[in-house]
Amino acid sequence: MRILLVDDDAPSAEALRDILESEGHAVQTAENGQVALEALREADGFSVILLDVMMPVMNGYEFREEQLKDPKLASIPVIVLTADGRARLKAAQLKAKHFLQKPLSAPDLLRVIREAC
Amino acid sequence: MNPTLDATSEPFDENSPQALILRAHRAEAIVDSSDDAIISKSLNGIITSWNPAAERLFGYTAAEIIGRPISVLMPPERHDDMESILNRIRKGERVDHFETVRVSKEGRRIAVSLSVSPVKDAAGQIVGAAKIARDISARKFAEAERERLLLEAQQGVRLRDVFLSVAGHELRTPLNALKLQLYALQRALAGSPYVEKLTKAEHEVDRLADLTSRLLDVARIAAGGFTPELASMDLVDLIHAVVARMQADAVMAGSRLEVSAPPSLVGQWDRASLDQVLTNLLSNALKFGRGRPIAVTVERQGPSPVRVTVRDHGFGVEPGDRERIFGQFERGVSDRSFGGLGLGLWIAKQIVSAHGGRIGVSDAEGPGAEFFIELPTGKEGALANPPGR
Repeated sequence: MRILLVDDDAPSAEALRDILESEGHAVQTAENGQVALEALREADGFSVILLDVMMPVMNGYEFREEQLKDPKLASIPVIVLTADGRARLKAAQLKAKHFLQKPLSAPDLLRVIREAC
Repeated sequence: MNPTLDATSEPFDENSPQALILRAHRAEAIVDSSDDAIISKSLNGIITSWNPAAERLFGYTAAEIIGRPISVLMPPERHDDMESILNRIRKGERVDHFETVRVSKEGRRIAVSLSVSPVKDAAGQIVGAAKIARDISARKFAEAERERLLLEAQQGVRLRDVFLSVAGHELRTPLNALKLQLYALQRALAGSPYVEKLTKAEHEVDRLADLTSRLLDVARIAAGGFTPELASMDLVDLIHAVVARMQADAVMAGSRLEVSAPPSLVGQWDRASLDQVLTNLLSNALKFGRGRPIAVTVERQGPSPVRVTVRDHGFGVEPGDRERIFGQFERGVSDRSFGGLGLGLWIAKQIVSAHGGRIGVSDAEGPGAEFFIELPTGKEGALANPPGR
């Protein structure tokens, strides 16, 4: 599965990438929403987007707005990964069905990825 | 004989000269003793009388101001007021409680409420206007102050929410990296004796994350910021999810978790916060339950609130402690034997209260404690299915 991981926290992104790759997934990382949009527009085939919310340059809300406006990208499922205590609320605001609260449980994340795709 | 203001000496003939003089004196006394400025002016705006309260309010003596235009009391931007008021007076209309600004002799701006009435001569012709000006500076100041405090409070709430959101983000982000790194290491070192230590370390990260959440919750709730986000949800489904999540802890504590509930119970509640209440109650039951079975029961009879009880068979709660343990930083047992912040039940109480419900300790037979929560189901609350037997 091809996964786009959007998170500005490099240590988290690095660990998550290792875990997902060891599960056989191909992972591309982006440190903010802007880089993520560019990655999505450059290459097809992403199965799921793991999206942090609070990021510099372009945050999760702005990214989601752009993604939903673009018919080529709108249908790619998004899993919101948030360090905010109100993960459910954040996901609802981002119109995302799937969400996980940080700190992430890797087994939970793998399960949600399977559910979302 | 001088006329007096004694009402008992009212003359019989009210049109007698004496009666007229008496009435004039009485009116003058009223005008002089009024706390409001009373001013009369001609139809072209020239001041013709000026009482002591007008002198106190505007700073001009009667001698200084009588004969001068009323416009000397008006700030430049209010000069149009005069013409519009005088136009209405010329038509015989009254102007009631017109709030505006006037200027004193020293140049101080005064918020006033004006009531202006036409003055007629003996033939009924309008010859001028009588104006009552009330100083409303204190009220205007209080209104502005109230507005400012409200704005300040609203800004405070916004700032607090932003702070808590940022604090939560900043505290949880490194915990996220740490937890994921530990998990990655466990995978990489599969089969090594270090895996067990890494698992324990990951467990500690979870504890730290839990404490972080609690502290942030306390900050939010203590600042009065907790408002449940109500949505239709199944309480029984939530209870099963919480119990399933706590199975590993139950195994470690040696307690068996049993749930007795109808298949489904839907109401308008805040799922995340009720998750926290149930987690707190079950954590306590596991902590103080002496490794004995713990029963979670969900009941609802008719239109009454839903009642959830968590019953353990451990140390129990002394009757004298049943109120106290719901206070901030309170605990049922000595802090030398059991850790914890002493905030779990306080948080639970704030959440349940915010739902319009109750939380407490019931009288239970035998050893152990029985905590209950009662929750109104909200507008859409209803049993989706009758209780399973």
